[in-house]
Amino acid sequence: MLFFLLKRLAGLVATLAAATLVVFLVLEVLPGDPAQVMLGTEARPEQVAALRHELGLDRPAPQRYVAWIGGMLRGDLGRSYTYQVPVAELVGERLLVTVPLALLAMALTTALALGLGVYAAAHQGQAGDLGVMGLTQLGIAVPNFWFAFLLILLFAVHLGWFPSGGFPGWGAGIGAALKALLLPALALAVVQAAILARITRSAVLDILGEDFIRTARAKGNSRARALWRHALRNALVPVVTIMGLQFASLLAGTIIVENVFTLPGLGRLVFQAITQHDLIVIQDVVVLLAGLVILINFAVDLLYLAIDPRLRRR
Amino acid sequence: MALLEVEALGVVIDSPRGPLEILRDVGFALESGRILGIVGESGSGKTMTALALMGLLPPGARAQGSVRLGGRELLRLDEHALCRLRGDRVAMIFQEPMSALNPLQPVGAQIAEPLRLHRKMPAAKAAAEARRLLARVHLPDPDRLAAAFPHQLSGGQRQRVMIAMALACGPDLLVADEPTTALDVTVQAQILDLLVELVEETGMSLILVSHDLAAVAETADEVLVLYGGTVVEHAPVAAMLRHRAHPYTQGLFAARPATGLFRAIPGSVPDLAALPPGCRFADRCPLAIAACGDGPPPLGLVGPGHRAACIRLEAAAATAEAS
Ligand SMILES: Nc1ncnc2c1ncn2[C@@H]1O[C@H](COP(=O)(O)OP(=O)(O)OP(=O)(O)O)[C@@H](O)[C@H]1O
Ligand code: SF4
Ligand SMILES: [Mg+2]
Repeated sequence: MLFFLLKRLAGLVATLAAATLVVFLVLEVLPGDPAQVMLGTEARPEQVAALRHELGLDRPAPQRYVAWIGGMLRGDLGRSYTYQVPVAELVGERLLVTVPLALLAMALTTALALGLGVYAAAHQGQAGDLGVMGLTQLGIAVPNFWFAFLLILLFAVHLGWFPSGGFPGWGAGIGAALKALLLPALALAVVQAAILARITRSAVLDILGEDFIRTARAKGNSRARALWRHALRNALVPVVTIMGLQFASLLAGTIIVENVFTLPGLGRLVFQAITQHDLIVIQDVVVLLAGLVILINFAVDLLYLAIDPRLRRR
Repeated sequence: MALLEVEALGVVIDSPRGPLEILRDVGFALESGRILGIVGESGSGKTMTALALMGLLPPGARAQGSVRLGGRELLRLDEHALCRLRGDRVAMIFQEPMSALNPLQPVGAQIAEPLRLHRKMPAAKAAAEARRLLARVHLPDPDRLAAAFPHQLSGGQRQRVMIAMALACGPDLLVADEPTTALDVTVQAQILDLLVELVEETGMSLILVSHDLAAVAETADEVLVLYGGTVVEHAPVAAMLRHRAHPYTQGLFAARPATGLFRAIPGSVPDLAALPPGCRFADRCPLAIAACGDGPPPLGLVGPGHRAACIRLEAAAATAEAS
């Protein structure tokens, strides 16, 4: 068990290192001089040369890579060229928007999906099941940006219950901040919840057909009790696997949703950095996002261990 | 009054090919402390009979007729009342000890569950009782085993755990559906010995569904032979060992030494979607005549407590004599 954890931890570090290398190499082999790209085509040669020096581009690539990693380990992510502030500062603020947004979206996804999926499985073939299946079909078909506009129109513009965009900051109180994050989180969650609900339903149905459910019934468990006490936990393994994958989708989804709701998060930062050719910011944020996804996968591994004793052997 | 009285039990199941009559007119009675063996080829309806007694038929299946336990009609009980009965007055163990236990729960908790459900026992007390039950089915080191998960046990140990679980509330009737089929031969004998010992100790009744005629002959007090969802012969074990009255049972016993299974009877079990109106064994029976197709042959008395469903019992007795 300890060995398993150490192995996973080593894997985590290795994956992260590989991710930094890939990001570095991609920017390295990309045609064009980064300094030129950042300054645009009208820049004068001496400007470009100055920037090259500032960015350390006149040093050999391995040396630059080591300097970059070393800086990251010390918490120094370099300076954003467009914002002229340390990237760490820039990213730090935005993490406090994007991570809570993704976590809230994941929480909504899980709650909706487990509720609907288990309900549908328990009422297989009945009206409730068909209703859930229809709803999830719709949820999967509707793109999340369109759903975001719909939510804004209904709850922000028409009913006025929620702000239509922007973020007051955590200084404005947890209530106000969560209120600003709820609609975007919902817009992100709908598609994922629809997918996860279907997976939950079929996982529960699979388990309900297992021999040990019949044993549970022979012991005197009612149908509902057998589902809650014996089927649900067994069904969680495939569900948790998908949740891990969905977290990556949610992070990618923040790029669009943060722009629709004008939230100052990582997604919006990436978007702006891309339009402004701020390569340093792009590089750092991509590695950061990769790190978040890798971390989540590690959490999923831990969840497996918690759920299934058969995996605890090694 | 017998503990269990089954009369004219029938099961019909909906299938894509229309309703199938899986069981027809199954009847028998079982006294307390007695062991009934149910034998028959694969597909003869042994499991369906067991599940009908438990009220656990698969979706789409309906039972008719009468099943009385201690005078109480089970087929008319609602689901709630059945839940209170299952695991308390009637318990069941299954063929596959590998998959019949919840892989994510320690076995101690699984054994304790019926006590928590039916006796409303506090957790600590139920856990202690579970350890006592583990010792009772002769498992070593109950304290350690109670905390083990099913994958950490052998097949025989798991089946003992299943038996401990079934025994928890001291049922009047234990239904065992091929409890040894999935186990090693040496373990099979140990499990059967354990079941017999527990019947003698507790006075419960046991229905032992089995493929293995020898096992049934050694363990059971009486035998019920099923064919195509009907009872073809029902007799005390001693009488059955002396004389097989039904041509099918004769074939079954003759087939046994060769393979240990029943396959050696030429032909195969009837197609439930195209059942003949008369005797269901007719197309495989060496003694069949035109009259066999007229209607279901009634169960005739052959000896004390010994019945067989065949219209040519004398001819069958003569061939048995000759061989
Ligand atoms: N869900 C179902 N739908 C339709 N037919 C079924 C269903 N379950 C069982 N049957 C049929 O019912 C008949 C009796 O099945 P049953 O499981 O009782 O046989 P069995 O005697 O226990 O056989 P085995 O020795 O293989 O366990 C078989 O012909 C089987 O094909
Ligand atoms: S009734 Fe006829 S077909 Fe059926 S077992 Fe007897 S002799 Fe054979
Ligand atoms: Mg069976």
